[in-house]
Amino acid sequence: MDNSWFKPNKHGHPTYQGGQEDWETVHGIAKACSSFLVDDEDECVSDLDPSCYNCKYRRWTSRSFTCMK
Amino acid sequence: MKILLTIDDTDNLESAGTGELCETIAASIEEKGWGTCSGVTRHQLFIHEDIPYTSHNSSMCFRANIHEDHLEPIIAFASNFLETESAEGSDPGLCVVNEEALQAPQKLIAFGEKAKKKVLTKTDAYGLAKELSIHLSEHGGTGDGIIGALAGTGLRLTGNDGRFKGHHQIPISTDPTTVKELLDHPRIDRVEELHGEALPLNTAVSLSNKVKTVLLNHDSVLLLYQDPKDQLWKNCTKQHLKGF
Repeated sequence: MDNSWFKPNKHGHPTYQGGQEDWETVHGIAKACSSFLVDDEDECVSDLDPSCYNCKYRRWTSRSFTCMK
Repeated sequence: MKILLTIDDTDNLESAGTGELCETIAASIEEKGWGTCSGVTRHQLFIHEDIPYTSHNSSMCFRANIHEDHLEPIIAFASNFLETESAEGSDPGLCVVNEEALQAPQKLIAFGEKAKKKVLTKTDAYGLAKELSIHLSEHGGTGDGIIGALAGTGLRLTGNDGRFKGHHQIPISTDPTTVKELLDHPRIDRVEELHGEALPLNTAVSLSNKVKTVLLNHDSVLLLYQDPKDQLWKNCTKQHLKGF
């Protein structure tokens, strides 16, 4: 996980600052992430693989997602 | 009789997904000769920090045509299956609705639509299930999955919510194929452009990646878009389908 794109939310969970449609950036972050694990096909929303948006360890929030790794 | 069976909150980060378990229940119903099942649909529910979902808060549902004698065995089988196959730490819930006997389906639909916008409680779910004589049961943990299971059933009942689980294998004789050939696929009821317009049967379609359908007007619908780069009609991408 590239920490420069994540800030802790009020519960301390690292939250992505680019929202839910920052396709290219999260593609780049996932490519460099050793923890990336692709989620079930039905939960994948990005066409750029790998992607944090398709990762089993992302937890969607109302505006973005938190990384659980 | 026609039933809707929905499950929710059966997984954790390491386990098989809820969709996979739902598909296994549907396959088991067919293997046991209890009935025939439609495709499983995924229904997105409210994303909110007060809701303890694993990562995406969605429920999974299918319709089955069964003989009424098989209703109780199906509920018993699905209940036992959830208790043995759900992941540690999950809070599984099961909902089974006899569609033909359902009074006031609009109340169930309204519950489903509300569950996409606000946090609901088990009390809300049990209250409506009792009023409408719907089977709703907890199978481990907090049992919070009953909320999503009931909501997912209401959303499936709308006929206009969610994506079908998995993707379709399309044996095509030509590339590009045509709308007509796509309509021959048993799991595709309609082929439309992204905004709902039908396309002529001889329209050329180039398929790529995984071919997925969505639930629209109670049909399994393959959505297409016209690629501005080459003007070809293509199956919608994951990003196109994210909102379904």
